[in-house]
Parts: sequence; C-alpha cells; structure tokens
Amino acid sequence: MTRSGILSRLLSVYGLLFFAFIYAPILLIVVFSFNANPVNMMIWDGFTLDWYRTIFGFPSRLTESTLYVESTRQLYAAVRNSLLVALVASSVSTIFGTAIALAVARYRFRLRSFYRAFMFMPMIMPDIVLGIALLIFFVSLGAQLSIYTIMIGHCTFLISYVFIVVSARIADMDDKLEEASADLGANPWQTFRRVTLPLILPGVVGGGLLAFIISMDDLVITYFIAGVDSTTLPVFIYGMLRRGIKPEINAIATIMLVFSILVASAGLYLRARRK
Amino acid sequence: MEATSAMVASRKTQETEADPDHPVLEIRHAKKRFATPEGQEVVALDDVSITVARNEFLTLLGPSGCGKTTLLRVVSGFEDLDGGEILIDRQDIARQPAYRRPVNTVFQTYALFPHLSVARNVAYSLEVARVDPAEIRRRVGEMLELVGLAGFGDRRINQLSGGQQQRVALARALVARPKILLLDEPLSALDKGLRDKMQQELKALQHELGISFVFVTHDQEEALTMSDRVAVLGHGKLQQIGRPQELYRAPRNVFVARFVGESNLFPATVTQSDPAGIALRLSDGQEVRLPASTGNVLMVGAKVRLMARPEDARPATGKNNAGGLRFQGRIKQVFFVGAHYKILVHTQAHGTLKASLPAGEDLGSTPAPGQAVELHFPPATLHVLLDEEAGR
Repeated sequence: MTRSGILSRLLSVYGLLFFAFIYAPILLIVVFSFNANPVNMMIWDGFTLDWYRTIFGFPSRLTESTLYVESTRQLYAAVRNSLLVALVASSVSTIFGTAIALAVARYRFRLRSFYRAFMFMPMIMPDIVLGIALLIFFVSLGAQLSIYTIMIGHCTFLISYVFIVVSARIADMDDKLEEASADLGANPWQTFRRVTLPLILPGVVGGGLLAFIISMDDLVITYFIAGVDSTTLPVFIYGMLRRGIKPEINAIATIMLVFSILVASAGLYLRARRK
Repeated sequence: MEATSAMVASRKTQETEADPDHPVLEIRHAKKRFATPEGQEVVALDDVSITVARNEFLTLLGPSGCGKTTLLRVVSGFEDLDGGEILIDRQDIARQPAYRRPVNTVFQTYALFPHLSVARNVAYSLEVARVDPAEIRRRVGEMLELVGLAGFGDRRINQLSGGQQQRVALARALVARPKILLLDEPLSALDKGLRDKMQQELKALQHELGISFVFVTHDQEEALTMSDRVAVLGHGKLQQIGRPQELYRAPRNVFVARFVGESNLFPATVTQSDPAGIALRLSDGQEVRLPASTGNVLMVGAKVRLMARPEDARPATGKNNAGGLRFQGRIKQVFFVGAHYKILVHTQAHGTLKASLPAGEDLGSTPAPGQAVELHFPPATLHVLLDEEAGR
C-alpha cells in the first residue's frame, strides 16, 4: 500500500472515531431507555417500553420495583412550563432580535458598531454569571421569582442568538432590492412586508427555532431565576438526578432528543425550501 | 395600447398636467458632498444644472466618480441634495421620499425580487398602488410582450439569462408609466453582441412609449449611439451638454475632447487674432490659420489646445499642402480594424499621434511599423480648446 493510501485510511479511521466520540454517549442513552433491566442499566436484559409507560403515568411491570417518577403530574407541569417559557421567550426574542438586526444593518446611527458588539456579549458571558446577575437583579427589584422571571431572563440572551442568525441573512440580501421597492412606489411598510420580510424570513424562522431549542434546554440560568412553582423540564431532571440516575431519565432524554431533532429538521427544511 | 394605458393612469401619472413644451425634468444648481471614511470631503455634484425635455433620451456620460450616478440617485430620491432644486413638471420634488416620485429606475444589477415570479416583479408597482387585479394582469401582459418576454410570466428570476433579466427590469420600471425612466448603466453586465442589440431596442422603446429616458454610462460609444443629447460630467461638474455630433465635433474643453472619442491635442499659442480668423503656433514652430469660430474672442498670446481627430488625418501629398497641420514621424503600431487602419505615429515634437486611415488609402503600401509617414490635418478639421475643464 502506498504512503498516501495508508494516510487516507488512517484519516477515515480518525473520522469514525471522532463521530463515535461525539455520538456514542447519546446513542447509549437511547439504547438504555429501552433496556428492561431495572437494577443495572448497563446490562442488556431485553427490550421494553416500560420506562416510557412509567413517565407517562401508565402502570407497568417495572414501576413497582423502582417507583421512581414520584409524580407524573409534576413532570407534565415541568414540560408545560418549559414549552410556555420557550414559546413566549423565543417569540419575543425573534421580534426584537430581528428588529435590532435590521436597525444595525440598515441605519447609520451613533454608536452603531458599539451596539453591534454589545449584541454578542450575552453569548460569551458565562451562564452562571448571567444567572446570578439576573437573580440579584430580580431580587433587588423585589420581583417574585416565577415563570415570568424565567421568560424575561431567557429573552436577555435569546435576543442575541436571533440577532446573529438574522444578521447573517440580511448580509446575504442585496440591499438594492429595498431601493428598487421604494423606487416602484412602495412606502417603507410595504417594502418591509413585500420585500424585506419574505427575503429574511428563513433567517427569522431559523433564529426563532434556535432560540426555542436553547430556551427549552437551559438549565444554569433557569436554575437561579425559577420560582417555586415554575420548575422547567431541565431543572426537574436535574432534581431527579440528585436522587440517583434511574432508567426513566433515559426515556425522558430520548424524547427530548427526538423533539429537538424534529424542531431543527423543520428549520432546515423551511430554509431549503425557501432557497 | 397608448390610449387604453393612458386612461387608467397610475398613482405616478396623476399629478400636475404636463405642458408638452416645458422640460419634464429640471435640475437646478444641484450640490452634493460626501464625507469619506478618512474624514475628507468629496464634492460629488458641484452646481450642476440640466434640463430634460419631454420624450428626450438624455445620457449622463463620465468616468467613474464623476457624479453621474449620484445625480441619478438624487433624482430618484436615494440621496438628498445639499443644495439646489429638482423639478418634475414644475413641481419641486427634492424633499419628497423616493416612493412618491414619478420616476422609475432600471438598476445596474437589475435588483429583481428573487422571491417573486417574472409577472409579479413586473406587477410590483401596480400592486403597491392597489390597481385592480384584472387591470394589472392586462398591463403586465402588454409590458412583457413589449419587451419580448410574452409567456415568461410564471418563470422565476433565477431561471432567466442576463439579457432576459434586463428586459424584466425594464418592463418593471416602465409598467407604471413613469414621467422619467432612469437607467443606471443597465447594459454594462451584458456581452457586446447583446449590448448592441439592447441599445437599439432601448432607443426604439423610448421612441414608442414617449417617456423621457435619463441614461447613465461611462461608455462614450454607447452615449453617442443612443442619445438625443449627452451631458458630460467630470469632477462633479457639468462639462458640456449637447447633441452627440456637437460634443464630438466641438468639445468645449480638453476633458470632453479626451472623453468623447479619440483625439490628438496640441498645445498652441495664439499669434494673431482678428475678425477674419486666428493664427496659432505649435511648439514645433509650424503655424496654422483658422477661420474665426463662434463665441470666444482669443487674445494674442493666449495658450490654447488644438484638437485633431484621428480619422481626419490624411497622408500628406503635394495637393493638400495649403493650410492645416503636418506631422512627420514613424509608424509605431498598426491595428487593422476592418474599414480602416488605426495607426500610432511617433513624432519628434509631439510624441505619439493617433491616426485612422481608410483601408485601401494610398500610403504607398499597407502601413507597417517602422515606416516613415507624413500626416496632414486640413484646417476645417481642427478645433480650438480653451480650458482644461469646467471650473478648473
């Protein structure tokens, strides 16, 4: 075998190892979520859907021995909170993030580049710092920690993600198109509705979906600013974990994984169709 | 088509009733400055005044950075004036936003809406003005037919060739029947054959529709071919405005002479000036007498430039000795361009001269590099230039 043949063989092996390193743990969780062994999840003991039945509150053969998800109702509440927070926070962030991206791209104003740089700040700020800062902020305002403080907290950094995604899309757009629209008699609102928005929509939708997934997934910041009755899914799972890793968590994780993949695929599909 | 389209006047043509003899567009003392990022100030328009007659094809010609595109953008409303007025049918529109002005633009890059079909692109101005849908369909159909794209309405923009996109841009800008159509170097992206074809079509279209066209280009040949009048801009100033023949035959200054067509320019001094004519002496000592030209009275001793077009050069013979200029030199390069030869002649006193000789003209033989040659420019072909350029 030639030298370059060996090298390219090695490169393929490296590639395989790389993907195994990233995806093997995730794959394991999915496999474990179907493992019927209630004692040791590392040892395969046959296929079962019982963990999924358990988390949805159906009676199952294995629940008696584990009796782990103490309240399916609590889990449902956490999921509902997470969805609600993600929906509100990502919608608000999408509107503001898009507006800021358009303003920074289209208008010249004082401190414009300063403003742009500032929009990146929440992304590089450590989550724990942001969490503590938000907690102190809300407490000093005398605000009761609740699902609303989570929504507001999430907006503070989700706007940045939307801003970046939408800005990239605007940068791709020919700015002569808006001039052409005005030239043809469209007032600024008509131009936005008929030209700007349709052309940046893939970016807006993509940014919104990204914000939704990030919000659904956030633990650190939410942990600081969640009220007593406003536990989100990641915070709930974290609470479960503190009492030991149990197989039901694998099932919940697998469902979350499938959900995220679905949302991301929807985003990619919309983008591809628009182009 | 004329009558029916005029009946349903769009938003853009409803304004003041037009007086056919009054210029449709008047630009008065337009001034515009830009600040460069380095903090310097660039004067893009320096007191430019131009009028455009109804149904006129006017070209703004000049090198890049001369202010021609700025002038167009000021008329369309994408740039504000620092001073001056813009009147369309006697109405000052300088403070109106772009979308209220009765002008439409064909952009250099076409700027077609990629998310809309060909028909929706053309329909855009009518949709925005809330014209009745049946009426829109009819006018879009007419317009597509006019530009030779009937049946292309459902295509997407990225399915069209450059030339087809050009036609869509034209149809889109014309469908609302603007008072003035502005064209910003629309042909520069096309290859030569297509460009020549579009030049003829544009001219024909303008004639048929009776809309004034203001066309921006840096291509002097294009300007001369298509225009009723050409305005030459340089360094933010209007250098000269006139019919193509005037610009070519009687450029007002050196800038115009250099930019419009090819020319040989000789520094000369006025040695005699009387009502009958003037006498000039070139740096190599030869004198030439010219009949009195219109306008300027030249003082003895004034420094001027004498312009001679390459195609006016003739091989010197005994017969054409009387008057004019003669230059002896050696041929440096020869280009055969079909109907004539373009030759570069090196002379001792004046450097390289350009001459264009009809193919088949007797030069003794076919011109070849290294050959000695004597060129003659008859007095009637010479033109006196006073200034370098306007305002300098």
